[in-house]
Amino acid sequence: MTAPALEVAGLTVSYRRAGEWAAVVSGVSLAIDAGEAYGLVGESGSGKTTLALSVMRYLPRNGRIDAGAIRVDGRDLARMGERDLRRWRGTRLAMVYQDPASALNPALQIGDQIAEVYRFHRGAARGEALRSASDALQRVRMPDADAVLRRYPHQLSGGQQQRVVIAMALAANPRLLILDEPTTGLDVTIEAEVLDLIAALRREIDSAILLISHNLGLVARMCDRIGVMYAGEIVEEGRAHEMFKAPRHPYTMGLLRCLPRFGATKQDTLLEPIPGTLPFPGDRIAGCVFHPRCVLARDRCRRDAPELLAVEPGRRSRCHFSEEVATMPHQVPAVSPRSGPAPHERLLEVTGLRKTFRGPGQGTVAVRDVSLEVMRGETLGLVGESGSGKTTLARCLVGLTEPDGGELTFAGKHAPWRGRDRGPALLQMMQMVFQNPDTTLNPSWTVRGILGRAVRVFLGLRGRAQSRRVAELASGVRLEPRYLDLRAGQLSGGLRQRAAIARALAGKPALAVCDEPVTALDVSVQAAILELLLELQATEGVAYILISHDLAVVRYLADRIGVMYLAQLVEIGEAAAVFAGPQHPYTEALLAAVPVFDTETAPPPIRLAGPIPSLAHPPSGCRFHTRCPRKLGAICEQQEPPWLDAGEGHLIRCHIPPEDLRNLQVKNGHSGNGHAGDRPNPPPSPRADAVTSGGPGSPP
Amino acid sequence: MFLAGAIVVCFWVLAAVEWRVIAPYDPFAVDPAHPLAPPGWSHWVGTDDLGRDVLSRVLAGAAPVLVVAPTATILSLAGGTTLGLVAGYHRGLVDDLLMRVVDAVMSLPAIIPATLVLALVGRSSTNVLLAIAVLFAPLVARTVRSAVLAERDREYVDAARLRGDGSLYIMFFEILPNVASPVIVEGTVRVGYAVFTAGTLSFLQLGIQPPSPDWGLTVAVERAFVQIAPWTVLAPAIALATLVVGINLAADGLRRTLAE
Repeated sequence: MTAPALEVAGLTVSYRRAGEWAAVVSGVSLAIDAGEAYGLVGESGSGKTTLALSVMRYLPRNGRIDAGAIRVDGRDLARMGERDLRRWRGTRLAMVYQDPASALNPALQIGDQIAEVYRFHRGAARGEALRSASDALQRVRMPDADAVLRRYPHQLSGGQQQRVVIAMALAANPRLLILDEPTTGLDVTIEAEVLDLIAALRREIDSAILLISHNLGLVARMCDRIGVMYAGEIVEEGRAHEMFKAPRHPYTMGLLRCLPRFGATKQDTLLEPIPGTLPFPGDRIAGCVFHPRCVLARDRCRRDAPELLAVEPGRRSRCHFSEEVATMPHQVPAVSPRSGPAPHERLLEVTGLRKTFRGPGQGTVAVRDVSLEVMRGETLGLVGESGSGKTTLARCLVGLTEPDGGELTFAGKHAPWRGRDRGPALLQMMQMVFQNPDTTLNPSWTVRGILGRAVRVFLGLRGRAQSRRVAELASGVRLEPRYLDLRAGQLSGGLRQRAAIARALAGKPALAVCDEPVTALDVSVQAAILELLLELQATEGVAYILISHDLAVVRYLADRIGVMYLAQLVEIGEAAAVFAGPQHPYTEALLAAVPVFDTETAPPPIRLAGPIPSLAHPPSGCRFHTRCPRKLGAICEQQEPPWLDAGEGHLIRCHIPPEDLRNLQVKNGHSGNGHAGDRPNPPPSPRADAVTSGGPGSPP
Repeated sequence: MFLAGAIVVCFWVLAAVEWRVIAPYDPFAVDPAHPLAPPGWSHWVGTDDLGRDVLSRVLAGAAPVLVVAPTATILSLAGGTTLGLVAGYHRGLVDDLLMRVVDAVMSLPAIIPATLVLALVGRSSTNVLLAIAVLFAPLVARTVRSAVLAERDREYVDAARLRGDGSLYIMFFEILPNVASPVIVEGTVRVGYAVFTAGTLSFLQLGIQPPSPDWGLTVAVERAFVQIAPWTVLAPAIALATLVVGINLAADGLRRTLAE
């Protein structure tokens, strides 16, 4: 065996903040062989991107490498001069960033951008370079590659843009390819497409790959070996499939226990958030860095920092008690908040909701003829890719956007659409939890001010009664009193989202619309928020409309699920029924696109062809026909499909009768994607067979 | 740099307040025996055509401009912020109308409409102050509006709407605190321009009248002697320049601090 393609030894990197140097990566060592894919996972702030940037020597001005070596092909990059480095980067290293749109120059044609790589690093002439660019695009399976060469980045979809970026990265045949969250900003079906491409390319190139992601399922699927990072250290390292089956570090175990596994539901599983928060860079923690959050911690952990030692062949763990991880005690939930089946009293009913945004031509139809109902105390999940109209629908319901038509009935009474016409009682009953923790709270106000205002407006409470209710709300969302007098900007994302939930629930609403409430949060925080939402539902009896692109989250929380595609609802029904099938072909593809844990036994996935059509020019007939793998023929292009009943209120908008759909899906082994179809009650084991996670970068 | 600017500004503020104490002579005392005396031991910066001490007059001259400029700026901030909030929050027709008016005002050099207005309403320091306030308000409005546009679609504003809060409450209690830092920066920059504009208007003798030691006015009155007694013109001109540069340096430093 020759030397590894990348070898990092004892790397320590610091950032300067407010005049102080604080270590962000400390003493990381890892090696990746040629042709091997190494995954790096961890929550935000764990130092994984910093590690990647150091390997590229792309650290920002306020960052420096304190110690360690980064060897590529035997040369130490950490000590290389600027000129050598430039040549080295161009020919031996390549990096693909999270956002393909900002990695491409919007003013240059795709062909010229790719050709540049060949011209500068290979000294190719223009014509030759363009030919190579065309080859490079074919290598990343870009349909219609020669036409794409003459397009500009904005004329391509997100998935195509990422293909171009990957093509450019591969152009110089790098020894090491770094992929930093390569699919995080993309929709699930597009993500699946890009991941398939990377998987296929791995068989063709012998580059070493360093893949960074917060998504455990994705890393497990794509990589040979995985390193888990926490607070700048690698805490566990091992072969992908073994490690997640039997973690040997409490943090890895904690991550797995706080993820909603694919197919897990609130009835059968409890998510266990990791207590505490990630330390700030520069915080000195005596002993093991993880001990303040670890259930296994004892005196030795507080005293001695553990080394990253081999615990079994091919596995290293930084834990004194790694043999106890498998039997790590479960956390006891504060309360057991498992709501039973919701009472069948209708809370909200919408019929024929339409919303068109004015624009060039006929405008953009964002929501087309949507009808749905929400029962008291239940959770309706809404899923769909970006641009499917989920958020517009939510904003129409709460009165922030005025639709063009449709009827709204709330608690048995006809209700106006316009927020201004709704009156205080109705406003109070319907509230919203927003997606972005950074903007959901007014940064100039304290949490106490924000909650106090809501309490005063909704409940008319002042003075002491107001403070009492504020304290009650804060304790309800587990927000410690000391946070009440901080401004929003001083809180972490998870704490802000707690405050936002408290604000939404201040007036005891009957319905809270939650628009991607956990998308921007780390998995451990996400688990805490999801459990909090469940608990509040049990205590307050509030109904939720939960919008999310993360199917595992929706499956976990929702009683019923609606699937949206291009402004229309295409399927709605009981969550179990929707996951078990028969499914609308789009739902089927969505489920198949989620990166799941054991790909070896999973059936060959369904992939959607072609880009998501523009809302301004939706396809005729069935809107899904352009990408549908089960398209029947002309009927799909010409006629809008009817709503067909698959039993017990499970409705599917497709020309294929539900029975045929079921047969097709069972035959292909896709029913419920092997998660719920043949097993109506997946065992509540802490180690189910599928792991997935959601994360930042959701549809707007 | 911020410190240098602040020191210069503080010096002139001190002069404006305490010129009676600091000034070596009475700036209004005429001395027919020594007209246009060059700088020397008894008069450090010489005397003007009426034998008045130039240094004393320059020190005292800080007072009128340092009353007019900040007051005018505060008025323009108040008016401009309100306009900007309304335009930015409501968008639509209100926004279009307001911003086209702003465009119209901004298409002319400030001095032209100011001259017109002052010719119509009469010359006085109060009118200069009001004219500057009116001219600067649209500029402030534009800055505030763009800051409001960035804030108005944030989720905390939606949350306020979901509470049923009125647009006045949302504009002044939810949005205004978050656009305060651009408003403050704009304000400090505007003070510099206001000093400059006030100087120009008094140079054109549209504002304060003789025998005031106002810098712009002094330059206008004494410019006949610029060949034989340049100090009479140079001293107030340099004073004006240092004040404007000082304010801009301080404003720059403030902007950097707020941006962090």
